[in-house]
Amino acid sequence: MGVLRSRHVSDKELSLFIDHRLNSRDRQRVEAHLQECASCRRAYEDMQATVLFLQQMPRVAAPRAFTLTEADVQSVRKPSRSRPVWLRWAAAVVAVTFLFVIGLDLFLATSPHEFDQALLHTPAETRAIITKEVAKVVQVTPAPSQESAKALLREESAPASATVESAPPAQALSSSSIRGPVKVTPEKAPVGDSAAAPSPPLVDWLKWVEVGLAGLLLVILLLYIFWP
Amino acid sequence: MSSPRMQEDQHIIRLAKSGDIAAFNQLVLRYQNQAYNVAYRLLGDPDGAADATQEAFIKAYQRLHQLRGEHFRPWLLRIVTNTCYDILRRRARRATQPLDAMEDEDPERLPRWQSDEETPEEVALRHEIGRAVEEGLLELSPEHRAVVVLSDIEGLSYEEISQVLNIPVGTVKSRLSRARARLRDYLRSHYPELLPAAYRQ
Repeated sequence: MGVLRSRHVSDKELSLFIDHRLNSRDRQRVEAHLQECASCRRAYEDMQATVLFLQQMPRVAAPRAFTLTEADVQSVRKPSRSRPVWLRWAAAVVAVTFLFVIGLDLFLATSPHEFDQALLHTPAETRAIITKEVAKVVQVTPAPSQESAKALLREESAPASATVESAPPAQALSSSSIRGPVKVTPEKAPVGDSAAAPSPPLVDWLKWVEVGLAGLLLVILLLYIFWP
Repeated sequence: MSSPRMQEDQHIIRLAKSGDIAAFNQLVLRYQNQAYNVAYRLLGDPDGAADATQEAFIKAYQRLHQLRGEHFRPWLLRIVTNTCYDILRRRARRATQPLDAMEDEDPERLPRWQSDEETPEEVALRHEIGRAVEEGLLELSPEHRAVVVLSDIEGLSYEEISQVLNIPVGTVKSRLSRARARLRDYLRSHYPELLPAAYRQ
């Protein structure tokens, strides 16, 4: 009937006590309490018996060998069977780039197209104003590198390209877009029927990038599906 | 801290990773008994345990490339316990009772149950204790069962259990104490005559 009874021992403390995982201070406290508290002592003894029963549980023998056969491995294939990380990244990067390029293309392609439509239905005065605006847009779009400009020219008549070959890139661009060997400065170029060039070379170039990316996407998709 | 056995494992694992099935089968033979015992105690029936063990070794072979630096045994036992959790979930969904395998238990499968020095009464008592504990284990949640099986039947340390179950050591301590307390309380209410407190009344 002690008036000052120490705190009861929790199941967690009993469990750690059984496993010798209490620090010395806690262990001494548990030992002292078990001396004076019958209910905690019963809880401890029963838990200790339970652990002993578990430890004495018989081991069962494996009913057979679980070794893998060649047949198991045939269906399983090599250990590293899952799709490699690079393929997942490639698929993600190509898909995102493809969407970005399509978006860029739509953005660039809409303006000339709208101007084309407008030109068909407007009187001559306004047409002149619009063509000037178009010319500005054409100039603003970045010029292709000298090599690609030359390549464009080479597709045209041989003598023409021979005369322009040495011209600076800006002139090469304008002459190629008006489809002739006429040498004009960019400021004068817009006036005339060729001013509203159907699509700037950048858009053409983008189309090829799109086709390439679409092909790449298809290849990656097939790889993804039929990965061994 | 790595024993010669673990170093040997590392060597075999390197061979197995290159697709050497014979090397992998050395690991199977080395750990199949422990894997089967864990599965048997978690599922409570021999057929389910055999299926789980086979499934776990196939998964281990498939995922061998994911094993980096970790020791093989806790890694394998994690696959075994997770496979058993899956099986238990499937069973719970189908709401079928686990096979009553303990009833027709073959005494020859339990060699340690019997020894020449034991009287028939002692043998009977051991049998009763074994049955009671098996029953009580199946009353625990799979998580509590796993921690008590790994600790008290398989003899793993808190640190190893923490690796197998992928939980902090602190969680191992509290989960183990709760599992032991529940099992104790189950035995108290169903088999009070087996526990020492019964003799003290």
